[in-house]
Amino acid sequence: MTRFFLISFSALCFALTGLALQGATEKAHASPADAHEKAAEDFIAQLANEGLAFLANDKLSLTQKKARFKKLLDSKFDIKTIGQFALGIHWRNVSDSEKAEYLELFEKMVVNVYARRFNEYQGQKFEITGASKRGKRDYSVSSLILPPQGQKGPKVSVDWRLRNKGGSLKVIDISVEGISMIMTQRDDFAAVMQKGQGDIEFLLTELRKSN
Amino acid sequence: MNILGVTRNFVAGSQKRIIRSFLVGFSLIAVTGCASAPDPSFTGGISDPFEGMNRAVFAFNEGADAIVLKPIAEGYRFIVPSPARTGVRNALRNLKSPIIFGNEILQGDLDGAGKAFTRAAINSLVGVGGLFDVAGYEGIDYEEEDFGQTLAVWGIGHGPFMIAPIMGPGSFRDFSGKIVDTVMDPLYWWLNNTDQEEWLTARTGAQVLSTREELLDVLSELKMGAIDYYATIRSVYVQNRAALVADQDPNDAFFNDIPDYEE
Repeated sequence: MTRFFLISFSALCFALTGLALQGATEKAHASPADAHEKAAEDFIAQLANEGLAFLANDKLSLTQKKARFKKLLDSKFDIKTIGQFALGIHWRNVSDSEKAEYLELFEKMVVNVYARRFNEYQGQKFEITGASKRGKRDYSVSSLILPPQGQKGPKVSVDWRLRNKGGSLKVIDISVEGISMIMTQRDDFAAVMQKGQGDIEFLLTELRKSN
Repeated sequence: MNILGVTRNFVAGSQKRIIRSFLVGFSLIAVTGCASAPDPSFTGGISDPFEGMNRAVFAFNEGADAIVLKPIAEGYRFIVPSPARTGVRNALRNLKSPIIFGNEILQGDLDGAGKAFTRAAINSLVGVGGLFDVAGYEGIDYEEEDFGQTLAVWGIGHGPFMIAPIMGPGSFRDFSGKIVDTVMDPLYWWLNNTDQEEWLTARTGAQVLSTREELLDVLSELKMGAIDYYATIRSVYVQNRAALVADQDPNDAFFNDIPDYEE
C-alpha cells in the first residue's frame, strides 16, 4: 500500500515538474497600459528619488532628515484621508478642533516612526515593477526593495496606493509584503479607542505621549 | 518488527489523543464562541471572543520571549554569520517541501505544486541537501503553504483569534491546520517509526530559532510603532495570512476599500 502510494506520488511529481518548468519559462512582463498608469509609476519613481536623496545624505542631521521627510509627507501623501481612515467610525463623533489636533499628532507620529528607520538605509535598490488602475481614482504601483549592490538578501515587495486628488496624485497607503499600513494603523487606533470607551481624548493623550 | 509495531501503535495512540483533545476543544469553542458575538470592525477583521485570555497569554509570551527566546535569537544572529543562517533557513524550508507540495495539490494549484517539487529536487540535489536555494536564484521562489491556507482556499474562515502559549498568534483554523500539516509530513512518520524522534525536536527548535531571528527587526519595529501592540499583532497576523492565501498576487493586494471622503 505504502509502496503503491510512493510510486504514484513520484509519477505525479515528475509529471508536475514538466508543467512547472514550462510555467517558469513564461516570464511575466508588466508594462503600463496607459498614460495614467505611467504617470503613477513616474510619481513613485520621483518620490523614491526625493526620499533617497536625503536618506543617503550623510551630512544631514536627524532633525534635518525629519524636516525633509515631513515636507515629503505634506506634498506627496494625503494625510487627511489616511488619518480619517485610521480613525474609522470615530471620525464623525469628533469636533473640528479635535480632528485638527488628531491629524497633526498623527503626522508627527508617522514622522517619528519612520525616523527611527532612517539609518537602516544602506544603499538598498528600489525597483518599480508595474502599475494598475484600481477603482475610479486609485492606482496601485508595485515595487521591490532589493539588497544593496553585490549583497544577497530578501526582496521586499512594497505596493503603493495612489489617489488622484483634483489632478494630482497622492499616496494613501503603503503595503509591505501584503501588510497595509493604513489597516494596521486603524486596527491599533480602534483598540485604543475601545479602551478609552470612544473618547478621542484618550487616543490624543496616547499620541502626545509617543511624540 | 515488534518494536516497530509497538512504536507505531504508540504513535497512533498519541495521535488519537491529540485529535480527541482537539475535538473536545473544538466543541468547547463552538459553544462559547456563540455566546459572544464580537464586532469584527474593532478587531482587525477577525473575531476575538477570548480577547481577555488572549491578552494574558500574549503578556506571558512577551515575558518569556524577552528573557529566553529573544536573547537566544540575538546571540544566534551575533555568532552565526548571515550566509550560514540563510543556509539553515533554506534547509528548513526544503524539509517542508512535502507539506507545501501536498497543500498545493489540495488547493488545486498545480503550478505551485510543480514549483514546490522542482525546488525540492533542485535544492536537494544541486543545493547540497537544501542548504543553497539554487532554484530561488533561477527565479523559482519559495512559497509558504500550509493546511490553514488550504482551508482558507476551501472557503473556511479563521474562526476565533487565539494566542497560544509560546507558539504565539493564530486562529482556530490555522492552529488546526498545523496539526494536519504534522500528520501530513512523511518525515514525521519516518522519524517516529525509526525511533529518531529527537530529530523532530531538533528541527522544531531550529525552526523556532530561525524564525525568531528573522523577525527580530520586524517585531521590534512594530512594537515601537504601536500604541496597542496586541491589536497591532492581531491585525498584522490576519493581513499576513490573507496575503499568503492570495499567494501575494499583487492583484489581490489592497483588498480593503479606502473610501473617497470627498465625494
